[in-house]
Amino acid sequence: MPRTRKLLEQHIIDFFENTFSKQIQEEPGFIRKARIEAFQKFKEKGFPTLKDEKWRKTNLNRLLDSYYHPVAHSVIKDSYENDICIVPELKTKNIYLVNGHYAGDFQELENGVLLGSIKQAAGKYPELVQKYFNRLTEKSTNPMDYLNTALFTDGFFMYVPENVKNFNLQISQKLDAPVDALINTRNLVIIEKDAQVNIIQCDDSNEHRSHFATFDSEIFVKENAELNWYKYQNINNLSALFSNSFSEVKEKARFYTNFYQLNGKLLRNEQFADILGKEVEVDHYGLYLVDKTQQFDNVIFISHSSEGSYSNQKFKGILDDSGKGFFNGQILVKKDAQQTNAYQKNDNILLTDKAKISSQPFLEIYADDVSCSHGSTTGQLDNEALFYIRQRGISKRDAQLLQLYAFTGELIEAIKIPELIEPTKDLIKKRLNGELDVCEKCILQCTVPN
Amino acid sequence: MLSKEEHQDKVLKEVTEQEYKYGFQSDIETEKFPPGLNEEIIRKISEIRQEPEWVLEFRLKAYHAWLKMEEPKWAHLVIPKINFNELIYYAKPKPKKKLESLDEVDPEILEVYEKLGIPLDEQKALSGVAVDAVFDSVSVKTTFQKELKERGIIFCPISEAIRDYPDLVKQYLGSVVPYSDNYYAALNSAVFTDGSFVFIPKGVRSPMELSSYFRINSAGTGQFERTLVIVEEGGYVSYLEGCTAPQRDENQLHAAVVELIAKKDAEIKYSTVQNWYPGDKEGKGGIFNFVTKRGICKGNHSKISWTQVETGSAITWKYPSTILKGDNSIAEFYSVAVTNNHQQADTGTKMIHIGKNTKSTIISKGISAGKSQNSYRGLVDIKRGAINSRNYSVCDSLLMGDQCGAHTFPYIDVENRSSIVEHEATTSKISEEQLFYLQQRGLDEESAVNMIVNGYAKEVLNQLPMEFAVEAQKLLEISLEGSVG
Repeated sequence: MPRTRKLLEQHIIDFFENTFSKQIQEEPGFIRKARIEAFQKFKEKGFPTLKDEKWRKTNLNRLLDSYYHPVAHSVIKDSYENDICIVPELKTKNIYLVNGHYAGDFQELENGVLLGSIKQAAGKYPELVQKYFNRLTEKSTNPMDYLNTALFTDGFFMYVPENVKNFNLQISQKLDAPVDALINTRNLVIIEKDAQVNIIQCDDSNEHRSHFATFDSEIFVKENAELNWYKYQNINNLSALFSNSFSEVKEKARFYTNFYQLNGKLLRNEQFADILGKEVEVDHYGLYLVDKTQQFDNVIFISHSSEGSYSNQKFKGILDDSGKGFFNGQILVKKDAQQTNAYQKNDNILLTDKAKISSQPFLEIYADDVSCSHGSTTGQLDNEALFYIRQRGISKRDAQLLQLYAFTGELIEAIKIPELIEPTKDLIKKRLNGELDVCEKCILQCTVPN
Repeated sequence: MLSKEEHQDKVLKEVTEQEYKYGFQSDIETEKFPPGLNEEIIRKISEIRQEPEWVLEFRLKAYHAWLKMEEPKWAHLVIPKINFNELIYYAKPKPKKKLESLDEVDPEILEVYEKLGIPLDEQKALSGVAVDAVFDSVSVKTTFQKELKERGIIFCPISEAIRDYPDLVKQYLGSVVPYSDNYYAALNSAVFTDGSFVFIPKGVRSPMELSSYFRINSAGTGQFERTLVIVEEGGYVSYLEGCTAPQRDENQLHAAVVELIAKKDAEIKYSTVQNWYPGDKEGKGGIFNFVTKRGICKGNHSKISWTQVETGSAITWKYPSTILKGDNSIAEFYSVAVTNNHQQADTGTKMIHIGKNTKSTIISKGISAGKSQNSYRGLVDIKRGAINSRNYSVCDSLLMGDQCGAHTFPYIDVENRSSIVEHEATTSKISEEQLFYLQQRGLDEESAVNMIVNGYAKEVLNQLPMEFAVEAQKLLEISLEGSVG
């Protein structure tokens, strides 16, 4: 059993060298090349340590109590149609990512949308995939990205051609390994000019296995396109999931994310967005509800490489029991990015003396005609407000819940898909009430009345 | 009539070409050690200063720790490689004989201090400030010693304190900044040459402001002074520190350590106006100001307040910090940091809350112009036991020109549920509307900018003692007037 970091690293290195490298012989050269380069970097650097600036609050040693089998082939069902995710009254295309595999066929839809496994896409549309694959992750210095590039088994590929509007995609990611497993999923999303896409993603797991999962996405949002991405993460408290996204956003495009971290041993979302044109709008929102010994991290980096754009980061957290939270948000305004408006806000509520939050809102600004601000607050429930509510005959617990629920309101209000609002509210209420466990099916299933 | 742009260029040119007015070099004979750092040099420093054995031991321990350390690289600074073996670690004005009164101080040194406007001469000391002047590495003259002594206040060079009050120094030296704290602090602990020592006895409020003035005069030297301020129960002191250096093409290193200890109900107010030579407008020369300043609110209800106006130095690396150990203790940090031309500053504070009901306030105002980089970096750390603690931070940055950078790197760690921490920061340029408003009222662009900058920095300048506030305001004007773009 690998009880040390070194052993786990060695175990991964051996797996790549002895087994995995043989399995990827058939892959297109550009993917193999990217894998080998990334593997070399991983071999050199290993996992991040507490000495790495952005990992000083995140100790990976707590993941070492399991033996993670690298998943190369996985037994997956023929169909997951029965595990339907229901968002009432919302028409979506559904896809399933199971243990790093894409479950289903490659689809070429009527409106020209290409949707399917990234590995199949690389075979069917090698030029298209090669043009974008690893373009953004290549620059990363995060060992989790090295690991992902080197060892991803599969993932989803989506290409939305120009002018396709209101395309809704629902993704169910399932960590459902029969043994404790290392799972690496890699995705590529290309939204062409003037297209408009909504993605709703649920991260879900079985109840009893430890998963060590990475989920990397490269996202290209072209001129005047729009991508809205909602994510609900609810995995078991034995598993860790590192979701890193890299996006490139062109002129007049809108990229919007709203992520909910609900359960998991360690959830870490890193989002890197590069703004490459005027009048771009990038919004990254997130809510983390942490208790027991969970730790949820958010690392956001928004780079304004072009003038006249707007970005906003809003992250809120409630930390109970011995829960830990880490927020590192950075706004980089490059020299020529004049007339930038960039904002950042991180608010936290600590409910116990064992909970911990570390908040790092950074600004790095090289242009003078800008308006940038950030704020960070940490506090607790307002006693006067509690008293006021209790005076009205509401129990202490309910009064507290009411206040906590109100605290999350800002993020729920930011949801742009009306059909999602009620299910999200419901999820948060359940979570705050301690009623939300790992669902056997998708998270949003929880909202369907019996 | 010049067009607006031409006018701005003209003003900007005037400002950027403004001479560093303290850049003279005095022709005073100095006694210097050969360059280089090794055990022998350290032993020699200790020997020449006739230090007791424990000081030498402290130095050697620090030296060996330093050898194993690496220069910190996390700051947002580009620091040229410093060859520590080319520096001179000890330089002092050649002594004629032991100084008994002011008349015996080298007249040329007096002239230097006169140029700097330091009230060294007790006859003219209407301003009522007691001064300890440190010239290169050695304390030259401390004024008002007698008056202070009557109240039991000790204010003297640390070399004297080591000789006359060894027990006090031994107890506290390195107690707040351990010799192995960081690279530059370790270096300082190994080679520190002089600095000021302040001791305020129980219940005594210092009747006057205590002040030290540092000046690096000799070429090729580093300055490593060490300041130790101890305030016993119920005492109070306001301490001022100012710095200048001659204009030189080479970089010079200033690595000081300041330790403050505030006992129960004690209060220390520590103000700095830092105006080391910043280098010329091409970025040549200037002082590297790598300073470790830390205070501890040891007793309950104690208070430490840092105020700094940073306008000089080619590179500033400085984080005056406070450990709030006593219950109900209070810490404040007020800072204005101005960078112009090729200056770089990475400065801020650390507030470590350990005691209950502790409060800290951080007000930081950064102003960057020219091609400079100005960063605020600060930590607020509320430990689990620091219940009901409170922190409020504001870090604003003002950008003047499109070649400079202004950055904010706050770190906030909270580990209990009863504390409240707030942090906010903004970055912007001078508002066109404010400028327009003032110009409408008949002010020219320059005065308008000046007024806005002064207003922007007021919150901090107000914290300075009178004499310093005036000097600081002047410095701000020199550094910035007209650099609106």
